Amino acid sequence: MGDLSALTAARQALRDGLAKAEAALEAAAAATSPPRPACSDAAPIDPPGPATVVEVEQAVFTSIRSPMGSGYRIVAASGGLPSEARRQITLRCPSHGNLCSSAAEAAGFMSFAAETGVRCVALSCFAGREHTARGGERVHTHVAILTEEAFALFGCHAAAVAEAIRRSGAERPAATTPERLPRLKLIATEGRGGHESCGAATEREAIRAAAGLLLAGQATALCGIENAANAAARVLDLLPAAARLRVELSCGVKFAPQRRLNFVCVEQPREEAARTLGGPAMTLLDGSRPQSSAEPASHDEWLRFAERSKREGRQSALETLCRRITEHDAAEVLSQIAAVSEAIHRAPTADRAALEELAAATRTAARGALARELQESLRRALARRDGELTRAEQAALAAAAADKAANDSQSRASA
Amino acid sequence: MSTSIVNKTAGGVPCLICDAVNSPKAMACQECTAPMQFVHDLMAQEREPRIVTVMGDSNVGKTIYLGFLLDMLSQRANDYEAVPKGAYSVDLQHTVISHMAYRMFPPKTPVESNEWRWSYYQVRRAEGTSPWVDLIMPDMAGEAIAAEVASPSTFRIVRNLLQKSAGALLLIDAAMASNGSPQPDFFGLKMLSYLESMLAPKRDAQIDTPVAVVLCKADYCPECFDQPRRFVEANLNRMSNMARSRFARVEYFASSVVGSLAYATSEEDGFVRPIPLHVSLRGVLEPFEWVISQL
Repeated sequence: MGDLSALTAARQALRDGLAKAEAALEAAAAATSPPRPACSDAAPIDPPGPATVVEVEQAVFTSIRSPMGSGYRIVAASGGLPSEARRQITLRCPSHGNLCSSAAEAAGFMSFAAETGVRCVALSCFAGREHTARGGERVHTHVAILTEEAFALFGCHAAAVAEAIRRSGAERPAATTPERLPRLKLIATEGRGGHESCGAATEREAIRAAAGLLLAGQATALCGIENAANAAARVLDLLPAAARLRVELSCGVKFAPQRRLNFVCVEQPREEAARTLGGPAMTLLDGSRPQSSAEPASHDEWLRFAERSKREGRQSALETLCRRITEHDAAEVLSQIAAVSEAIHRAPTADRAALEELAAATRTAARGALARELQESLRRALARRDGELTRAEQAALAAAAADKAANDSQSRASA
Repeated sequence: MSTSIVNKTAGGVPCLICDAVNSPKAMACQECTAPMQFVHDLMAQEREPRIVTVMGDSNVGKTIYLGFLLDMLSQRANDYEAVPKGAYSVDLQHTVISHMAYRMFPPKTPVESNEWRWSYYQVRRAEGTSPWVDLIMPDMAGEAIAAEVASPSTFRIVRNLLQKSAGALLLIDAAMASNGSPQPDFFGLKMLSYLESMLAPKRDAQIDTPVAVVLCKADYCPECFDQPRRFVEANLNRMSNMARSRFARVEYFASSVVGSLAYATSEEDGFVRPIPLHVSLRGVLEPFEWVISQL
């Protein structure tokens, strides 16, 4: 008996020591790691997963005087810049006075497709005074030009590409720009998660509404938000890859019809945004006010699932799923994927009654290969859970029987 | 280069520049972003409008030239009577004159076509017998023109506009040319080549559209006021040869707006800024008069 108590005390001491060591390690990690950025940029919440280095073409669109001319044009580019991308960059990138803010630290972000299936992701900032001295700041835009495959490595998420460009440091204006640039090396991380939620509840509502409108194929403008880049990233978080591919967006850049975008994010209040957007071509959502019924109900189930996943800390799983939805993103397909995925998540903790309920998701006809695959996973998860529950029930029965037998023998002995 | 007759089509209004049908309430053409205000103003006139286009490289001085030209017309210079149609038509000259009064050059015109200033003026000689001419003059960004010339159909609005123009003013930086820079010559050559490929009715035929070549910033090289044609032949030879062989109606003019310049700098700026001390207009109206006489 004395040995047992000594062993228990030793175990407890060991546990206490481990807890203290873990606490010390956590404190040390917190002290050495940089603080998580708040809403100032579009940094992802999750730590990055395995990384892949992607080489892409790059170009700089700005106004500098050179032997070939002056004014806004592509002043530097890597060797393989496709001609169509060159045309689209010239047409769509912001020029003089076209960032929404005139503050020195103003920044803009755009993503658009060139007709050849090439994706351009552009980061704009001010780079000193305009060289002809006619007032205003020179807008410097750094563009990464990604092939379809390279864009897919980023989950077709333009904000993820923008983060990778920022991490590479390539977007910062250089003192001198050579005409020929090398290819740009970007790091694509797998399993990256969603973006930090900031702003008021009305902003979260507006972001969800914007995602719904984009899924329904409607051009959307989001205004009255705290941080345009963050809001755009959060909208993209809610969209499957197939829908992300259709989104051509700008944040912090003035609206111009020639940019032909279907999603515009600006921080300005509604009245100001409505003036610049003009016309009924875009649905205007105000992040500072409660939403009316602008959001189409068709994608409700998917959006509810996506929001719940983010809220419950399942961003990585959501992102992995979003990346796999590359072809069909019709409302009914997404609803089924959402229902089955939710069931897979709930299966490991479901009780008998809930299992029956969850099994319903496997009985509907699968809409597409992904839904079929998810249904298979759900069946396996349900079977696994069923087995666990059966084993638990059998163990409980056995325990009850043993208890009963013990009680019986005890009562016989006492009798 | 003929303009379309402005008429209402069923369910919409056609754009004056690209003929795309727009909703009657549209402020700008959904296809080419040209303002739809002209169409509404022109419908009341029941006349064919004439578009005169001002072309030129970035920083050549298109905005300032056009601003002073419109201002001279509205001040009835040389017996012209000019009536701006709509307050938007006065924006450009207002901006240019106000900035110059404060000894500043007007702001750079953005590449975004929805921010270009358009002017619609009714012009005639003041003697009273000459007919009114509806003139539409957009202030385009030089970069957009250069991008369209380099890669046609990048800025469709530029192409559509030039196709519909009854006459054109081609602005060339005479100061750069006289300094030995080949840039103005190449820009002029490209521009004429672009016009030729777009407008030539058939191979080897000369183009009949009047083109006035305006040598801007001529105060830097006053010799070009005396014999602009000789100046062009000497300093812009490539363009001059192209004009001679492919354009039936080309005339050369020297023009300057600034009387005297000062240069200023500060430690924060890090570069030298030109300050227009006073305005002294010379050769601004003549190119326009010549184009009008050729229409």
